[in-house]
Amino acid sequence: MDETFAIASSLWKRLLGVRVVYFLTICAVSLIAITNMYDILMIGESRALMVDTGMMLTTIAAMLTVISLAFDIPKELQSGIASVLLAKPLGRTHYLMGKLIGVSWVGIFITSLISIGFVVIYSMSHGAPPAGLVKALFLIVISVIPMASIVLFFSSFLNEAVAATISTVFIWVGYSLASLNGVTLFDLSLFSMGAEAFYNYEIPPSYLLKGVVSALLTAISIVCVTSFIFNKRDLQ
Amino acid sequence: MKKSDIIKLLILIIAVSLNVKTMKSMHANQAEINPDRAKISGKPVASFHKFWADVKWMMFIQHMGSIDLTTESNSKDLYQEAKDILDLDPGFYKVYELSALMLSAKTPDLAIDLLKRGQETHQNKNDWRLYSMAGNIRHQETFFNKKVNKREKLREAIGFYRLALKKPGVMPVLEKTYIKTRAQEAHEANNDVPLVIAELLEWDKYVNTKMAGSEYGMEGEGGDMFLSLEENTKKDILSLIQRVKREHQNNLAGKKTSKAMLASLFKGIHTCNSCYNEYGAGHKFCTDCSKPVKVYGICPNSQCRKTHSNGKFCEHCGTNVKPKKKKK
Repeated sequence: MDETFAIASSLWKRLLGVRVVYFLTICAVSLIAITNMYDILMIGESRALMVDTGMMLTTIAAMLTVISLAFDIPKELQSGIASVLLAKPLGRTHYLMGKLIGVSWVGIFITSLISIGFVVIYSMSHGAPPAGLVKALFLIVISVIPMASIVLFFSSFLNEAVAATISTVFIWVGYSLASLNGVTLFDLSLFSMGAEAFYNYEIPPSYLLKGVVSALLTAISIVCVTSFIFNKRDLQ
Repeated sequence: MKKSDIIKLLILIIAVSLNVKTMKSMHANQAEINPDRAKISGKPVASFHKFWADVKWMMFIQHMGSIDLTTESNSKDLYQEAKDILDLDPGFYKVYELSALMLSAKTPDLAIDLLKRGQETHQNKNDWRLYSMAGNIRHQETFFNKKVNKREKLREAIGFYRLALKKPGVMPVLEKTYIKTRAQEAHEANNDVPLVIAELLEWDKYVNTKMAGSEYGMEGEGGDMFLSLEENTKKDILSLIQRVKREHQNNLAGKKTSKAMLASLFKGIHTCNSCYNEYGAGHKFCTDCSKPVKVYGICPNSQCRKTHSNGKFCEHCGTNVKPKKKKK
């Protein structure tokens, strides 16, 4: 387990060491704040724009963070770093789990940063945020886990560009599955409760719990499939 | 097959089956939390339907602002744009409100179509404004479009107003609009009944049924749905009674209804027998028709005889103005 966390923390340090991550986070929070100026253009509906922009930018930040994994694994495989790591007493499944945990940490950290910024701005402009808003943001933060696992799957056998492209398409489709009449195996729309947050619908705590369980189960099942494929792969 | 692979396969099967169950349960929860989700369009825009609706809303506003004169053609364009926004966000109240206002002049049917759509959403189904607006659009058609079947439109308007009056938080002024429209419909059905008389008769029916607590849709499941008659409304009814007295003195139905309403609704006030104008304490003549009226509110003390403010004792001399009747 220590090796898994060593891989995870190495990815965490590498990704969070890039300064552009913080710059983009500040940009996202600034964009959310700017929507407050759209009150006239929206005929008094700036709160709707702020909530919807906040939800969208947090989701996009989660997507972009996990997509970085699509560049990391194929790069390590091509450069031989992965082979060196796997020559040590480290199982391939542990390697994959380390990557998944690492990128999930980073994703959760970045989306949490944006969410906190969003909640602070919302409180300053429209008063205390409704509980539904915080819950909806929590679901987006949690959605990082299934998103990261699907990227892990594609990056385990495809090259960088293809893995990143297909992962993006898959995540996009995953979010649209409910509107495409609910295939329930990889359905990210379950983590999207922005409308409910805006209209103050009550999101029960049991729903959040189910969200966490579903995110973990999705990750476990995808890691199992990925592990089958990755174990069969001939690494040089 | 290796032992570790078998374990992984087992974990996979268990995880997938549990996940399918959890996700199905979450889908069911989503439908319970927000029934309007089923109305969202199937456009694959990830989870950004609401954000996209906001962007389209801004474009819609720009389009509306660029229109100098509404025509049937640009009204249809606006209708389509409004529908596109509502496909993405069915609960967007402002879209129903503004687009209905824009469309009501040239294409009232399209405006009503949008408002009915709003009335079917979980988010707006209890918003009386959507029903009232639909009633107003149908009502205004009877003034501006001479080709329409007036009675049909009036009946539709009455239906919408009735629904609006059942909703919580409805403005009391809508009661008046409702009665006026009913009166207009009655007048259209029988031109022999003057509009003023028809309105008075409708008020009488309305007040009676309201007191009886049935019909007219005024009674609701909750106490807050029951509308009380406002002071302003009472004043309006009194001025209607006065108008009937002035303009239709010989109308029997008007006379009878006026007297009945004065006896029931205006028990506590004093009105001139000749013109039904309300007069104050100490008045000897009606200020409206100059006829003598029955004086009230004068202190019974012969040395005082001043107007008192209807308390227990006269504020000028302290005489008991409401002496208890002696028991026999």
